[in-house]
Amino acid sequence: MCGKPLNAKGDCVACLLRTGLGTAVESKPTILAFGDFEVEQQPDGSCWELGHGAIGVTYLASDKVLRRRVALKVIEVPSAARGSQAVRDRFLREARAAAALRHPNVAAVFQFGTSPDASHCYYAMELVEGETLAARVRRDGPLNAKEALKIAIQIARALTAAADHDLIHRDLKPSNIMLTGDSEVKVIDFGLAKAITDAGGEMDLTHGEFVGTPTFASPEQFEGGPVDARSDIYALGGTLWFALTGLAPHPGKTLDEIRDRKTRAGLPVAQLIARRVPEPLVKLLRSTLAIDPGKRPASAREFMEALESCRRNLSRRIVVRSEEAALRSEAFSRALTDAKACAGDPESLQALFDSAAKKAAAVSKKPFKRNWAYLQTMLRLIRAYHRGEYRQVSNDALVWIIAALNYLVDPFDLIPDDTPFLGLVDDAHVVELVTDKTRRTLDAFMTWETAAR
Amino acid sequence: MFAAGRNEAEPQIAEAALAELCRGYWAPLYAFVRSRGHTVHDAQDLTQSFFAYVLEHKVYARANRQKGRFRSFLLASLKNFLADAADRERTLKRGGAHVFLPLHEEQAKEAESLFQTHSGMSNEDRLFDRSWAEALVATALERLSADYKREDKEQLFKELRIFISGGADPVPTYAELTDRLGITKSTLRSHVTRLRARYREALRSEVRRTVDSEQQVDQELRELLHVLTQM
Repeated sequence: MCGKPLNAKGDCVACLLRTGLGTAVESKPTILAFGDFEVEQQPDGSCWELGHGAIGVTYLASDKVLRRRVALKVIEVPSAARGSQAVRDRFLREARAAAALRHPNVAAVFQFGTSPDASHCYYAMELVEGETLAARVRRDGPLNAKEALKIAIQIARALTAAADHDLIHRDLKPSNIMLTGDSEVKVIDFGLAKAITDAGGEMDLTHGEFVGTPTFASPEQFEGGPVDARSDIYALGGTLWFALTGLAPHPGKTLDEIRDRKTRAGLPVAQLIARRVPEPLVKLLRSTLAIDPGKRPASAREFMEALESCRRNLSRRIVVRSEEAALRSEAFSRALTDAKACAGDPESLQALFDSAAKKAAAVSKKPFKRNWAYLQTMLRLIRAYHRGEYRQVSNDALVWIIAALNYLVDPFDLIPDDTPFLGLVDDAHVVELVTDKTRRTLDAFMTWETAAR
Repeated sequence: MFAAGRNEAEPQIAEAALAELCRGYWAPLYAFVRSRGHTVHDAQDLTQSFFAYVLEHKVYARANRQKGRFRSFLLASLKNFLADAADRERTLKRGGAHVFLPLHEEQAKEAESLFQTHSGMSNEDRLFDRSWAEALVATALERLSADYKREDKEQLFKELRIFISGGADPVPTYAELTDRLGITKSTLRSHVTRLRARYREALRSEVRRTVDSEQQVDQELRELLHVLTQM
C-alpha cells in the first residue's frame, strides 16, 4: 500500500489505478505529516479526523517538538493560487494576526505553515475538549434565551478582541463554536481558513464560487468583495438565531436559494415568536441580520453591549406572544415530553407509537401537502417499522417521530399505503432526518399558521 | 458508451449499455449532486432523474469522442441539468411516472458513504473525479471477481486480492498462502502475476468504454491517479 487513504472497502484506490498503468508500488504506509505535526491514527490505521468542512480537514495531531496534542487544520490551496505571492502574503498576515490573538474565548493558534509543494496550508490550534454549538443544539434542541445569550456574549467578546487585532473571522457558524464545560465558549478557525481559500478581491481563487458555509454568511460575502467586522456580526446573529430555534434564518438547498433568501426574503420571525424569544432580542436580531451592513450594530463591542442589555432585561420577562403559535409550541413541547418519558420503556413507547400512528391514519387529507416530503419520509419509516421491515430505528429517533406525529400529523396529507419503503437509512440518518427536518417543518408550519391567521 | 451514442440500428442494446454504465457510475454523480447542497433524498431523485433525462433525450448521442472523455461529458451534462431550474423543479416532484434505474438500498448507502468520505474536499469537480475513480476500480474488481467465481476460483481471488488492492492489512507471506491454498510457491507466484494482468486488463477495459483510444486509457488513468495523489 502506498499510504493514500483507503476507500470504504479498505482498498487503496491509488494502488488499484497504478496497477492499471503497470506502475504498482509496494511501499510501507506513510504517516501524514505537516511540519512538526504528525496526524494521529485511529486503531484501524486511518487518519484521526476531528472534523471536516467545505474547505479543509481538521485532524488530531501531535506536535513532535513540544510533545503536545493539537487540532491541525489542513486546507488544500486552490491550484490557481499556489504560485501567488499576494495569496501567500495574505495568509501570512492573517496567520500572524490570528497567532497574536490571545483571548479566553478564542482557541489559540500555535503555528502555521505550508507543505513543500505549496499545495496545502496548515495551522495548529489549541485542542479544545467539548462539543460544537451545532452538535449541542442537534442533541438537546434549541437553547433557551438565557443560555443562548450567555454563549453569544462570549462570542461577541471574542470578536471584540479580534477587532482590536484588525482580524475578522469570515466563517463564523455554530460548528466553529466549541463549548467546553459549563457553556464556556472557544471560537475556532479564526480568519485563517477563509484567508486561504477566499482572497476577498485580491484574486478570484474560487472562480466566482462561494467557498465555505453559505448558510451563516453575510449577504455581502456572496458578492465576493471585501468584508468587515459587520459581516461577522451578521454571522453571529445567524448563529444566535440557530441556538434559539435550531434553525438557520435563511436555509436553502443550493447557493442560489440561500443567496436569494438572504437578499430578498424577510426574516422568519415567527420562529423566534414560537420559541418565546424576548422582544428586545428579536429586535436586536432583526438589526443584526439586516441586509445592509450599515443597519447592523457598527462593531462587535456595540453588539456585545446590546446582548448584555438583553440579558439584563430577561429578568423582566418581556415575552412577545403570538397566541396560536405559542400554544402550538407548547403542544409540541408536551408531545415531546410525553415521548421522552417513554423513551426507556419499549412497551410504553410502542403504545404511544401505535396511538400516534392510528391518529395519523385517521386524519383527513388537507390541501397543503406540497412541502411535506419530510413527513412522508417519517411515515415511510413508521409504516415500515410497523410492518417489521425496519427494526433498527433508535429510541431517540422514535421519540422525535412520535412527538412530531402527535403534534404535526393531523392536518397533513398522508402518503398512500402502497408507497414503497426505500429502507435507505441507518440510525444516524434517521436521527438526522427526524430532528433536523422536524424542526425545519415546525418552522414552516409556524409560518403557515401565522400567515393563515 | 460512445458506441451506444452512435448505435442507431440497435437502440435497445445502446440503451442497455448506457443503463449498465450509469449503474456503475451512479455514486460519483450522486456525490456531486450532494456536494451542491441537496439533501439525501433530493440528491437521489435528481441523480435518478438525470439518468432518465439522459436516456429520454438521447443526450449520449451528442457525445463526441473527439471532444473529451465520457467522464467529463457526463459531468458537464449533469451541471447543465442541475442548472436548469425547470428540470430541477420537475424532478423534485416525487413519485414520477418513469423510473429509469431501480435504486437499491445498498447502492444508495454506498453512494452516500462515498459522498460523506469526500465531502471535505474543497472542489466539487475533484470530489466527482475522486468518486469516479473509486467507482471505476470497484467495477473492475467486481467484474474480475465474477470471472473468478465463474471459474470456481472464488477463494483464490479472495486470498490474492490484496496483491492488487493494497489496503491496511499486512500482505500475507507466500509461505502462509501456499499453506492455506495448498499450492506450490511457483504456482502461487504465477497466480499472482496472472491476477495482476487480468485486473489490469479489466480496469483498462472499463476505462476503454468511456474513451476512444489506448492512449486515452493511459491518460485517463494518469489523470485520476493525479487527483488521488494530490493530497
